[in-house]
Parts: sequence; C-alpha cells; structure tokens
Amino acid sequence: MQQLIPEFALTKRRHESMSRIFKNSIAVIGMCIILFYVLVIVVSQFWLPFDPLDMDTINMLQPPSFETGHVLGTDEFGRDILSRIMKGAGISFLISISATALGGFIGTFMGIWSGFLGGAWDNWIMRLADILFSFPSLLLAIFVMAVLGEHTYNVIIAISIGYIPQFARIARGSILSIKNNEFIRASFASGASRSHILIHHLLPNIIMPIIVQSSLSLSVAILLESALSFLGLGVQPPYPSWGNMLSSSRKVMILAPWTAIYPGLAIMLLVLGFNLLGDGLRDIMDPRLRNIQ
Amino acid sequence: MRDASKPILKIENLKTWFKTNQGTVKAVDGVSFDVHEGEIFGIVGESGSGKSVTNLSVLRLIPVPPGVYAEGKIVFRGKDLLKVSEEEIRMVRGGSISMIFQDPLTSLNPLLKISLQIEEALQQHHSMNKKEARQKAIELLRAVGIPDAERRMNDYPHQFSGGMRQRVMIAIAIGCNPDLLIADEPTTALDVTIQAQILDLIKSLSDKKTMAVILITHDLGVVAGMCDTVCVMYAGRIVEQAPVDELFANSLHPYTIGLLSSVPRIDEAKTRLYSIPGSPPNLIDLSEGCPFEPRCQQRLPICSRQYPEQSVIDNSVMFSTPFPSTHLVRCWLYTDHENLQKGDNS
Repeated sequence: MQQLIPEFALTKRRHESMSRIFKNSIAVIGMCIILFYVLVIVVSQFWLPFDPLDMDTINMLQPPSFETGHVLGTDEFGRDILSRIMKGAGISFLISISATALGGFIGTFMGIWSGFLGGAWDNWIMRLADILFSFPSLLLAIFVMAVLGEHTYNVIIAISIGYIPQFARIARGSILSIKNNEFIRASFASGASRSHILIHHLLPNIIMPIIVQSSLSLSVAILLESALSFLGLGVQPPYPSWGNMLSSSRKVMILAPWTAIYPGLAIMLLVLGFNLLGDGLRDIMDPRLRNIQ
Repeated sequence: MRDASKPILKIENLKTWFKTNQGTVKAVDGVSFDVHEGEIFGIVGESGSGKSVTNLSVLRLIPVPPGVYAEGKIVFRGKDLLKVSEEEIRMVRGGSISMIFQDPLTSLNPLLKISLQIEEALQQHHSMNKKEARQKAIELLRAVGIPDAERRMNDYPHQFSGGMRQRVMIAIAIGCNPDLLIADEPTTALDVTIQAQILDLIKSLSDKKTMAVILITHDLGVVAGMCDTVCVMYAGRIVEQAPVDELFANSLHPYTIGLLSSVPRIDEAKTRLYSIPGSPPNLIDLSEGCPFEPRCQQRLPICSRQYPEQSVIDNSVMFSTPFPSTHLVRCWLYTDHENLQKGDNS
C-alpha cells in the first residue's frame, strides 16, 4: 500500500503524461475552451469591433444584428457588448490567474512547512488556516475589499486570501503522506539538507494535486471576481468586467435580455472550461481511475 | 592497510529514549560496543529490541522531540557525534558513515532518474562538477554489478527490480567511500537468491575498501555467513556479544539459546519449530530486573529484582579473529557466585 503514494504522483515520463492528457477527452475539451479565451484575449489587445468605452446614445439597447455591426447588441449606453466582453475577458483572466497564483503560492508554502516541520508550527499554521477557512470565501473577499478599498489589485488579494487555506491543506496532506517515505529518510541519511529535500524530493511529489487544485481554483476565481464586480466592489465602471456588465443589465434585463445573456454565457463557458480541465487532470493523476473508460 | 585493532566507532552507554504521553520509552538503554576497521558487526534481535534506533542514533536521525539522547557517547574518529553541530553531522551522513535501508522499493524517489539520485549524494560531499559526478556514478553502478550502466543511468526507479534498486542504494551509499556502512536489514524485502547476491556484494565491498559494516538483521543465517562479531539485543540492551563462531558454538544467554533453537534446521526433522514463549516486554514500564525474566526458562530468584552486570567470559573455545573481541554476557547465570550472593541479600 505504501507504494501507492508515490505512484499517485508518479508521472513516468513527461511525454507519457502529456499523451495521457490528450487521451482524456474531458481535459481536451476544457483545454480547447481555455485556448479559445486566450485567443480572444490576444486578439482583443490589437483589435476590437468597437471601442468598449465609447458611448453611442443613438444605438442604445440595440438587439444583436450583423447589419449594425453590433453582433451581440449594445447596452444601455450604446456600448458594443461583444467588445466589452472581449475586453472584460482579459481582466477576468488576469485577476483569476494572479489570485490563484498568489493564494496557491502562499498556501502551498505554508502547507509544506507545516507538514514538514510538524509539532507546534504545524498546529499554529493550520489553526490559522482553519480560521480563514471558517469564512465563506465570498464573504471573506467582501470583507477584504471593504478594508483595502476598491481597486483591481485588491480584488486579486481579496480572492487569494480565501485560497490560502485550501492550498495549505492540500500541500500539508500530500507532504504528510510522503514525508515518512523511506526515500526521504534515505536522503537525510546521505547528508542532504532540509531545503534540498524540500525542493528536490518533496515538491515534485506534491505538485500534481496542487496543479489540479489550481485549475479548479481558477474557475472559482472567475466566479468570485464576477460576484465582486456585480456587487460594485471589483472592477469599477466604466471599465468592463463580466460582473459589472451583469450588474448594470439588471435594470434593462426584460427589455434587452442580450445585455445579461452574453456576459453570463461568457462566465459560464470559461468556468466550465476550467472545471473540465481540472476534472480531467484529476482523473489523469488518479491511478485508480486510469484505464477505466 | 587496515588496522583491525583500532575501533573506528565507539558507542558508550548510549541511551535513546522517546518521550510519549504514555511515558518514556527506553528504546535503547545503555548500549556499548566498538566497531573496528574492516569489521562486519552484526546486530540481531527481534522487532522492537532497539537495533534500528541504535543505528539511527549514530547518524542522529532520530527526530528530537520525541526522541532524546539521554546519555552516552558515540565516538567516531575521535568526535562525539551526539555533540557535533548540525552542519558537521550532515557531512558525516553519507560522507564517512552511510546507511542503506530495509526497503529498496521505497528508498528511491520515484520521480527522479537514478543518475540524479546518485550524483546528488556525490555533489553533496565532494566538490564535483556535473560531468565528473556522472562519470563517477557510472563507475559506481558498474561496481555494484548493474549491467549496461550508462544506459540504465537514465532510468527511473520503477524500471528496476527490487534487487537492482538495492544495488543502486548500495552504489549511493558507497559513493563517498565511507568508513562505515550501516545496513539496516538490507535484504529483508528481497527474495533468497537476491539476498545472497546483495550480501556477497556488501562483503566484497567491505573487503576491498576496508570499510566497516554494521549489519542489522534478524536472520541468524545471514549473521553466521557474514559477520565477524555479533551482538544480541533484547529490550534496548545488548544481552550477549561475541565473535560469531564463539556465539554459535558456545551461546550462553538463555535468550540467545532460544533464538538459535528457533531457527529451522535441515538436518533435523522436527515437526514443530521451537519458539520462545511470551512476547517482548513493553519498553515503557520495565521492571528493575532482567526484562527477559518472564520468558526465561532458567530464571533465578534475583532475576526479577536486579539487572545483571556485564560479565566477561573466558573463551572456552578459541576462535581466531582479527578483531579484538571478548565474549560478553549479561545474565545472572554467569555472574560469579559472590556477586550473586550479594545481590540476593540486598
């Protein structure tokens, strides 16, 4: 049974694990969706159908139509919805990736030390994580935003704080399951220092569950960012974000449903993409689910 | 040239205890022995007798807390390893004393190529560049009998069999030309033919490099074939120590006798194997007396009251050994009468 633990993270060769990702259709669909968004973001840097901030009072609340050029219609100020979605994608992506990276890094680091050192350190770090864990992440994010003030960077911090305990727990759990392995003891016995063992032996063995968690966290970050912007705490108007687009469409939703549907679809599709990728990765990493098709 | 009379490792009255909520576990409670250059020193005893803890203590690999080095000295090359700094002990680990573990299947990191794992130890202790380390690693793999070493360098541990992995472990262990190799049940996880190969390898390396070996095992057959000196441990103490032939020919302690008679023999058709009655004692609340007393067939009244001193036995049968070794035993049966009387009265 002890063998199972290293096997869990065992990716025989890199190209083999890459080919496993391509065999897993769920992960491939997720990756395609994400690549599509990345493409849109890249394109939006150079070209947008309209200026997303440019108001056009004549063309207010236009339904989607190819003739006017407003493929997804316009909002209550006459701004092009497609352009705003494309512009918002970049901001959502940036916030989601930065928040996950920040929270993931700090959380993983805390978890690794906690699991590795054990004893009183472990207790203190994990109790701290428990305190953070006891707040719903949206509530925590709102609280942090209220303290820090409304700014895009603060959204990143607010979301990442909620991620710290999640990553800390996963990292700690993985460390605990492998740190008593013989090869860690053997490494100590051959004179390796703690930091060397941590970087060369422990980190590679826990990286897979962390990657899976990251990809699931990315999707939650998209939702959190939208929720904060919806509540007026995230990205501030007139700059577009999917959340504040939904928020401003509340008043005109019955008249012009396209103002709500398309930003909503954009959120849903990206969240779906990250979740599919995360699920697919988890299946790939879990040897018990491998070869079951 | 080796100097067989000079001890390279001298353990004096070592006590390694573990503080737990239930009480203090005296896993090693006053162990002393010397290991000489080129000697293969066997330690036998059942599970929980303190064999492994003794040897982990030598490299200070017992986590503190809960472990405590309560007393004693471990003198290696004139330095007490229990007192040197963390930095110094790291240089000893894998440098002049190295260790191989019981289970080769889990002793290698499954994610790293074995070349990396061998080079890592080399670079830790010698200022070698990558290329030199690689060259040395290939030599080491050849020395431990891995065919096609250059190609196998790039393999991952799962591509090796158990015996091969133990060879890799040995290659890592001897990489820095240690003076002492501690082998903690190196063949327990391997099948019998591979066992013989691995033991032969260790023995030949020890002869070639005049490296001392501490061999921990519970296989008396291995001891008979490999070791120069043997000590038998029970409940954290050495109960008997002798040159290997002496021990087998003239075992004195009732526990040793019990161990030897519980080995199956092919020249006697026995239907049932002998086993020592009872089970090893709980190390938390040991009585004042001899811990083996409840299981002993030849117990004396004094046994439950006082722990016997170590007595030196004049070798009744002489066996030649290059190593200075006397037959030591801790049992009231072999303590002289006067002492016994005194102990009885107290």
